[in-house]
Formats: sequence, C-alpha cells, structure tokens
Amino acid sequence: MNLLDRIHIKEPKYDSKYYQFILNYTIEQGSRMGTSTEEEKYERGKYFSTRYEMYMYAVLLGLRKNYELPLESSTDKKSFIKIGAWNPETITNYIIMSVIAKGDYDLFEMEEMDESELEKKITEIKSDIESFANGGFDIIYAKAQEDENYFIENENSFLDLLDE
Amino acid sequence: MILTKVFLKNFMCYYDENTFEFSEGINVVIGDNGYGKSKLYDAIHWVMYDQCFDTSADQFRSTKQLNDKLISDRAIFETDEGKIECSVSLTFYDSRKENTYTFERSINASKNDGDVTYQSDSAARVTERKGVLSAQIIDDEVKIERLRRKVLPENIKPYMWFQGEQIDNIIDFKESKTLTRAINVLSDISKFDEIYSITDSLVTKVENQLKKKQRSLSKDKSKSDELEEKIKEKKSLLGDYKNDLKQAKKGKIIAEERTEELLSKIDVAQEIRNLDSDRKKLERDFNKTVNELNELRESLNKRLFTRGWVLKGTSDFFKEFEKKYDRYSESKLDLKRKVQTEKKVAEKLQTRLPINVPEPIYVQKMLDKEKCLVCDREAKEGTEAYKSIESLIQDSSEERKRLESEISDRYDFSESLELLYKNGLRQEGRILNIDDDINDTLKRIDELRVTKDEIKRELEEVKNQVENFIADSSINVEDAKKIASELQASQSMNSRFSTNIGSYEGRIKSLEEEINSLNNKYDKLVVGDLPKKLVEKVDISRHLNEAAKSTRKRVFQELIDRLEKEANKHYKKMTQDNMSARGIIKLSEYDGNYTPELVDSEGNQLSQINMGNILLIKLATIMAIISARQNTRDTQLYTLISDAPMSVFGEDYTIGFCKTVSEVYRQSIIMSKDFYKNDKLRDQLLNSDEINLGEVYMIKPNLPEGERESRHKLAIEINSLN
Repeated sequence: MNLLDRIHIKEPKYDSKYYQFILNYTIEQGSRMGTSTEEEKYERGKYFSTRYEMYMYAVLLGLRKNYELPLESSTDKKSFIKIGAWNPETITNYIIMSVIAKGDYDLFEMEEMDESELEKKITEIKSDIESFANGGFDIIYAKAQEDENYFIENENSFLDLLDE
Repeated sequence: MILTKVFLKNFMCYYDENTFEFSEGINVVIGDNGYGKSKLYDAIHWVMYDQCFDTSADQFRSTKQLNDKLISDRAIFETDEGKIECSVSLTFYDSRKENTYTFERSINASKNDGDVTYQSDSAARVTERKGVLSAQIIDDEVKIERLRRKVLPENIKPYMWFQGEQIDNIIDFKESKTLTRAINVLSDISKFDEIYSITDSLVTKVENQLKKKQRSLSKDKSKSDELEEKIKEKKSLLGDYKNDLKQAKKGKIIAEERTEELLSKIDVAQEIRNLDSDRKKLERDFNKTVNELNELRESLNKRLFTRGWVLKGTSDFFKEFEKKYDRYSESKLDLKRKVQTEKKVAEKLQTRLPINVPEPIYVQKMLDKEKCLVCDREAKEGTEAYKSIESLIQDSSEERKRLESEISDRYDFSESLELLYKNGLRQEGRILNIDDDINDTLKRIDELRVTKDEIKRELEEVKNQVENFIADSSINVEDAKKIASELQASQSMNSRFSTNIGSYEGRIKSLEEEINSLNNKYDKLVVGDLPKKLVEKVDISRHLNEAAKSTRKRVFQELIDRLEKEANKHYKKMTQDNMSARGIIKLSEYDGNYTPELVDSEGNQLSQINMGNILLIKLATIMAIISARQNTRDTQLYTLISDAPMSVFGEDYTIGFCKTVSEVYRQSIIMSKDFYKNDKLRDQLLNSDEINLGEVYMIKPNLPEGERESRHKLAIEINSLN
C-alpha cells in the first residue's frame, strides 16, 4: 500500500463540542446527503453541503493561520468519514501535501522505517490534520461567539474569514 | 321643489345614521370609486321607485330582487339578536307654498340565533308639513302619486335622474325611437303619426276599391288575376328588400361609428401594446438577472471547493513541500548513484581482465589453481598474491549485495509523493488566479444587483405608464390587443354593408320597374272607363298621405333643430375652457336615423368624433331635452340627480359641465370622483365665481383599501367641504 492510500484510509476526529456547530452550517446528513440543491442550501442559511466540506475548510483555515490545536486524549471526540472519501480529491491531496510540508517529516527516512514506525508517522499526519482542523474550528467558533450575526448576515462570511 | 336632505340608516355601506343636506345650485358629492357615491344615488332612487339600478345587469332591480343587499352588513353583524332597521328618507321643500314633504322607505331584517331573515317588501311613508305646523302622514294614494309627479314627472325622469353608464342608452342616435321619445318630451308628435296612419289606411282602402273595379272591367279576368298575383308577389319581395336595405343602412351606421371609435383608440392601443411588450421583456430580463444573481450568491460557498477558493493564499505550503520533495528526490538519487558506482567498479574490474574471459569464474579458477592466469605466476594460498586475487571477488559482491538489499527493503513513496507534487503544482497555478476569480465573481454580483435595480425601476415606470394609459383611455391591455383586429373586422363589415346596400338598391329599382310594367299591363286589360270619382278619390288620398308624411317630417325636423340649437348652447358652454373641443353639433338625418356630427360654421364636418365627444354631445342633448321644452319651467321645478355623469369625457370638461349645470338647473346633485384626486380641480369648483355652488361633500370608507373586503366593519365618513 502506498503512502497516500495509507493516509486516505484514516478517519480524522474532531472535538464533539463542535458537532452541533458544524451541523448549523451544514446540510443535515443522512437522508438529505448529497441530494440538496444549492438553492435549498441557500434558503436554509447553510454554507456547506457536507460535514467534510466544513472540516476541510477548518483544516485549511488552521493551516493558513498556522494555528494548531492538538486534540487532547481526554477530549470527547467524534469520528468522521475517512479522508479518501472527501471531495474534491485535488483539495484533499493538497491538504495532505500541506500538512506533510508543515510537519517534521523526513520522507526519505520514512521510507526506511519499519511498519510500526511508519504507521506511527502516518497517524501523526492524521493527528496534524486534526490539530489544524481543531484550530480552524476554534477560529470559526470564536468568530461566531464574538458576532452572532457574522455568519448569518454576510453571505461571503466564510470567504472573508480566510482573509482576516 | 328642491331636495334639502337625504337621511340614510343602515342602507348598504352607509352604516348607522348618515345625513346629507343639500341646497340650491350644484351640490357635489366627491369620492373615489367604491367609496359609496352610487349607493347614495341608489338610496334616492330606491325611496322614490322601490328599485335600484344594477350596473352589472344594466337594468333596475326591485327590492325583492335586491333583498339582502340593501341592509348594511355591519349593522347585521353587530346586531346580536332582534330587529335591524334600514331606511332612507328624502326631504323636499316647496318654497312657493313653504311646504316640506318627506318620502321615506324602510326595510327590516331580524336576527335570531345567528340566522338573519330579511323582509321581502319595503314599506313607504310620505309626510307633509305645512309651514311651521307639525308633519302629517299622507295616506291618500292619489295625493301621494300627485306629490311623486311633483318631485319628478315620469316623462322627464330619464333625463333628470340618471347614472353615467346610462347616458349612452338614454339618447341612442342609432335608435330612432330614443330620439322620438326625446322629441315627444319637447312636443307631442304622436298626433302627426296618427294623421299619417289614418291617411295611409285611406290610401290602402281606396286603392283596393280601384283594383276591384279594374278587375271587374278586365277583358281577360284570368290574366288580370295572374298579373295581380304577380304584383302581390313582387310587392312582398320589394318589402323584404326595403327591409333588408334599412337593416343594412343601420348596420353601416353602427359599423361606421364602431370604426371611428376604434380609429380614435388605435394609437393609444398600439402604445399600450408596445408598453405591454416592453413590460414583458423587462420582466423576462428581470427574472433572468434575479436567477443569475441568486445562482451566483447561492454558489458562492460552493465555489470554495468547485473553484478551489478555499486554497486562497496557501501557495507557500506547496513551496515548502517542494523543498521537502526535492530533498527526498535527491536522497533517492544518491542511493541510486551508489548502486550505479558499485556497478561501475565491477565493470572496471572486468576491464582489467582479459577480454572474453568470463568473470568471476576466471578469478575463482585462478584461486583454485593457486596461479595467476594473467601473468602466469604462482599464487599459493595464504600468500599476498592469493589474497590480492581473492579480494577482487569479495569487495565488489558484498557492497552490491548490501546496496541491493537496502533498496529492496525500504518503502517506496515516490509514486504518492510525485502525485502530491504534481497536484500541488496544478493547484499553485489555480491559487495565483483565485483573487481575480473571486473579484470577478463579486463584481458580477454587484453588476447584477445594479442591473436588477435598474430593470425594476424601468419596470415600475412602464407599469405606471400602462396604468396611466389604461386609466385615461379606459382601454385595458386585453382590449388593446383586440382593437387592431376589431378595427379590421369593423372596416370589412362596413364595406360589406356598403356592397349590400348597393345590391339591395339595385334590386329594389328593378323590382319597382317590374311592378310598374305589370301595373301598366294590368291597366291595359281594362275595357271601358273607370268611375271618375273613384279615380279622384285615390288621387286625393295619395296626396293627403304624402302631405301627412311630409308634415310629420317637417315638424320632427323643426323639433330636432330646436333640440340641436339648445344642445349647442350647452355644448358651447361646457367646452368653452377647452381649446381642443370646437365645432357645432349637427344632427344629420340619414334615412330616418340621426347621427351627431361636429361641423364648422360652414357646415364642414370636423375631425372624427371620439367616445368622449359623443357622450358630451349626448349630455348636452339630454340637458337640451329639458331646457328646450317650451312653456315649461322644468329646470326650475325639478332636481337633476346624476351619478358620475362626467366620468367618461375626462377632467378637461368637468368645470365646464358644472358651470353649465349650475346655470341651467335650479338644483342639481352630482356624484363625482373627478374632484377626488385632482386638488386643483376641487379648488376651482369651490372657488369659481361662475359656478352657483350648493353643498360639497367628501365621502370615504372608514377602512383603508385592502381591509374593505371585511364589510363587517365598514361605514362611510361624510365631510362637508364648504
């Protein structure tokens, strides 16, 4: 199994305190999954079609702000779908690339590692993704706390937040 | 007598008690459509005639037919239990005798357990008060009838009390009977009709006597009978054709009038159609813009992913990865290079050995034989020479084995990392354009918002223009669409009637010739002389008949002239403030029918008359019918009451009409919406020295528009303006 496949099968987690918060901006998963039109999403005041979209956004926001907030082992976590199922794949892989670039990963050395060492490293990549996502959620959450209408009144809010 | 007071209690929209007081001069009740003007007219009419005019059915309806429509819905709603009374009373004052008469009509309903029962008949009561004495109820039916005629005689009623919608039918120039009825109000023309009818039967009688005599003197009786039969047939056919001709002529007048009416509307109709088409196009553009705008706004967040906006400002990550990937690639290359070096060592070794000698088998053979086969010297085991030969094999194979095992044991991420690198490279290209892409999208959203607002403004403007055109011309969009095709139809109908008229006239002429020839043949069969006296009798009766016919025609024409002259007097007064309306009304006779025309002083017909002009002429004629009556004082004795008489001919003539009416009639009560929105016009009415003004009221419902549907709360507010 190559490196990407090994990362793709990982299922990153997030702090369960963000569960409802994510749902607030995301079309309800389940029966509506993948069937909601852009119009429905707009009418309902939702910004993301799926939870992984918001998760991807959070990782990239964390990366962009260089804000890593590791999930502590004591934190109550929610599991999440595997990375390989996120879409679009180009952005998923860009995220993986960015996390590898940011982290302390010697790729050449990693090739020499034995299985247990390598698995540890790959889990580390997943943890980094979680940390950046957690950082991203923290920024979004703080913004919503600071100004409760920020995401309600401004249809460009998530776009603007990238620049703030 | 003048009408001094109208009191309404729970009548239609007039909830509870309401009073209008009127005086001499022109009294005006102002209100917009649906504010209760017509209901006031209905109330007055109901008291006197126990019926109201139903405009939707274009006819009067009795109390029985109106039933639940007469009583205020609010009065019914607000009464929990018991009787609900609805009544209207009119108070008239006879200034000569100083008597006051009150006509009252009432109808009740009752409510029991929420069920409402309406009386089917109304009750009427008339009271008389002489001077300052107390009022007495009059129960003498004859006296009541006499008083009723004193309020308004039956023959002039259509010309004194009428609604705007009725004007067109009161005087219909196409219907000779409506003009004859009007002429009969001026002077009794029926005696001339009777004289004509008597002479007509005289002619028939003596002609029959003559025919009988002619047949008795015929030399060929069967031939005479045959000719007589033929003449009878031809005459009957002639009658049919004459009738057809009359119908065709009447049809032509109608078609011509319709054509003129449509021609006067065609430009406005075209304008309305153009504006409506503009409206539709703007609506399409508006919807398209709104759709694009919504689509863009809705997809704004989706573009974070579909167009990679979420990667905005992350190109540094790729650069960092690129460095890592370079280091990785270099390390991989180093490893490859090492293997290559070992290979090269081996190759080098090979070059030091004789060509075509297999290696390392050859070297091994040297060790086995303890002899260097290259230099042919001894190399015993344990000697330096032996060790030297042995090292050649060991060095190269061990290093190669070590390197080869290192490569085969390690993971290979090159494929994954190359994929990440290539993907990063592609995304980096996109990232550079994200700002422009976002700016272009936001700019497009702004542009669409501006466009949307502009189209909305234009749309409102066009809608207003259409509404104004519709309000001014009374042509709605649907009518406007039909007008061009209707004009074509009416023009072709006009031309068909013209063709038919020519054809009937031709047939009539030839039939008359045939009848003359048959009559000649019939006369020639007579042998001997006809009784001279009988011949003279026929001759005289025919002359008498002609004289009666021409006298009737002359008297009728004289009355028409008088009507025309009087109508012109009113028309001139009504239009004096309006430069666009000029000319003299001319009632032109056309085969027994009269058509109103506007002519100049030379008698030349002026421009085509539109509907507004025709109604103005009709109104002038209606006034003339009363004012031209000789030896009467009708305009002084009776009150003109009219609901919206001016609505059709526009505000330009409103003041002229009021001046004329206040001059012609001692008292008039006019319901009008013309003064409602136009403040300038209202000021003119209230302040003009030329208008003998009575009372002026403004009426309006207590509920704003939109809530008026809820009639359970409806009442009318009456405000006096002077």
